[in-house]
Amino acid sequence: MSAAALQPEPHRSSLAARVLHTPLTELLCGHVAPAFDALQMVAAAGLPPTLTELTCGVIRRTRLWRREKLEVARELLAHFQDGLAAGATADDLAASFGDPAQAAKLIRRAKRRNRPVLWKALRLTRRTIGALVLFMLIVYAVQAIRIFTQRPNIARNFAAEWNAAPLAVPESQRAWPVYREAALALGKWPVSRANMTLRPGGADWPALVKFVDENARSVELFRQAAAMPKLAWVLNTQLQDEDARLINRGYTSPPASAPAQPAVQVPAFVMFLMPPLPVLRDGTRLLTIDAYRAAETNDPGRADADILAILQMADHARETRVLIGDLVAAALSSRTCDLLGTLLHDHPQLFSPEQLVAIAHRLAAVGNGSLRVRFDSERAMFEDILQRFYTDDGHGDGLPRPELLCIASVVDGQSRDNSPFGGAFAKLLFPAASTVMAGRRDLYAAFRDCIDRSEAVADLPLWECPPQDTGDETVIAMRASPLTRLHYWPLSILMPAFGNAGRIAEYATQTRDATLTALALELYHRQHGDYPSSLDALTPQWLPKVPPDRYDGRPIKYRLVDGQPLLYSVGVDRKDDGGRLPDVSSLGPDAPNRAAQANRLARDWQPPPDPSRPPAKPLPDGDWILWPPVE
Amino acid sequence: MRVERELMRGAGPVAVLKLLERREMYGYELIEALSKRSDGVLAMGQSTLYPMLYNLEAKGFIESTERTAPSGRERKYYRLTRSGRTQLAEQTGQWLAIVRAMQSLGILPGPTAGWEAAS
Repeated sequence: MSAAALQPEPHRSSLAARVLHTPLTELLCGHVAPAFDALQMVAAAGLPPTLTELTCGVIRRTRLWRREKLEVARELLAHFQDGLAAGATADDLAASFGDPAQAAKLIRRAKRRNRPVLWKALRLTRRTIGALVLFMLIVYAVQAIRIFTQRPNIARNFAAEWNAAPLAVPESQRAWPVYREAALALGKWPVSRANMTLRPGGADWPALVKFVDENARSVELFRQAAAMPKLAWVLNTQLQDEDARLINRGYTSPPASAPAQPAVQVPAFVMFLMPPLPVLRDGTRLLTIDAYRAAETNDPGRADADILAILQMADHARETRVLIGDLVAAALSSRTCDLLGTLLHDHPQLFSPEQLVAIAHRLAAVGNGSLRVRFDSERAMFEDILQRFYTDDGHGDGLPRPELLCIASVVDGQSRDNSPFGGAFAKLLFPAASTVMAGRRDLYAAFRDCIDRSEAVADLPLWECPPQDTGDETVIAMRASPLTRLHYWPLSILMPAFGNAGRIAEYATQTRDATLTALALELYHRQHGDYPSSLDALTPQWLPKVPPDRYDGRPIKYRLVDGQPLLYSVGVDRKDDGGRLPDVSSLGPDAPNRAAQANRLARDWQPPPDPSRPPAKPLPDGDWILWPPVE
Repeated sequence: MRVERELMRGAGPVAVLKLLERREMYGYELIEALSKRSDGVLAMGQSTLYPMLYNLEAKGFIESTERTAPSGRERKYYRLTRSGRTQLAEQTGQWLAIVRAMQSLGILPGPTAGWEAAS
């Protein structure tokens, strides 16, 4: 490098360079004095070119702050000037200086040690962040390689297992084609299903009766379908031919677009469509109205056929072996009990004793005598998700696959943007997100723990239900924060709180047992001319045994009021109030269906009071009336 | 005789501290004094001395003042701080221990009285 090259560069004399090298205090006073220009200072010092070149070279290489360069320049200048004054030559001084590059490096390092603590803290922060980013990038890269190079292993075809039974049913015994024909033949309901009151006397009743009359063919087809032994619905992810027409009739949503995944020839359990359940619900609505019409026109045969058909529909719903099917079956059983209870009360002589006995036997036989909900489908669905959307290390563990993000859209038809990662960058972000997500084994363990607890609680009668469903609590904990939601994704969105499922089955069981008791009382009354003083008198001729009150485990409560029987449960307060409904005056005098609301309050489960702590909310003080019907 | 770099790295700072023990000195003066008083053994160039001075300053063992010398030149004078004195005492103790160890191994001839007196 020549000495000329190290002279102050031309641009240094520009205004910008001068401003750049002027101390801030000078600038604030309006002066432009480049006091910080170390090279300018060295050049102006008048040293021999060798030393000027050496000094400028060292100062440039230090890459220090301007003020620091200035300090170093002053010191080196003074040093060389001292040396020259002591008689040394420029070449001697340059030779004894040492390696300029090494000098610049050491000076830089030493000067930086003298910098303020704040600067050091910022540097440490910068370095820490840099190290963290680097670490995360490495983790990301490793995770991405692991995720994108491994494949899921779809070892079990749950669809085939599930469909083995319906596919074995001969076509002539399959009820589904007839149900489908009945649904497709049905016109548009005149009243919203959600607000429909399926009892005579309501404002919509004339329109409903007219609708049933206009849809006599559907009514007949529903009866025919119910008379067939098996529903034989074959689970699938797509609807073909006639089934596809149900989409336009509102019985099912369109099939979800399948997320990209290997081995799509095996249908995913989570994507199965279930149009039979809304069809069955519509059929029971139709037949319930028809049964009331039959009673009004004193046609016991038609009413009897309708009731038996609805009960068969409940069994057809349970045949699907999915949780929601069991819940529909419980609802259909309860609807039949409501219908039967009202007919017994309003038309006590409608049915012959033989018909009452046949109805009672059929009602008791729904679900082979048990309305409890089953969780097999939930287990199959989740295991199927694991095998599709997780890699398989051959030992029960694996990593989540990016297609897992589409689970939400598959399950509820929502946009993929509803995934916790957003839509567009989902795949890009997935390796990073997957470091927080539970692995296959851990997620399955969490699922098993959760569903085992919920199933254990769902199998208990209300009188043995613990104050808290720990399965539900686990689900709530999974949804507590975005981090836990992500950790347990997709369990945190797929796992419903099951606690209520078991209770719905319990309510249906209590309602069924009370209806069977009411039927037995009617049969007793017809034989003896009055009602028994105790339910024990009904056994074993009309009842195998007195059913339990689901809230206290003791026999269902029975009283004669004005010579008429009253069946009730102690209700949620677990206290016998003599068959009195809870007070619902707080609802206001104009509240509709006050008695029905009061009865529902007494029915709906709440944890038993804990003597050790004051109740958060007082339990409804009253009983759950089971028969006669509460209007 | 040229001292190994690693040895110099240990000996250099304590030598500088020792020189500054009695009075303040500027850079060129230090280089000259080191070379002269150690018969050239501890001679070091600017490229070694100034980074060493900045390091000692960063550690708080020395402090500097810029002053105009009688010759009219701006110079930076270095002097020992209280912490520097403590450090010098510790370093001297350690060097003495090394010398004694070397003597006991027969690497250095004894006695060490001269060194002790010097410290």
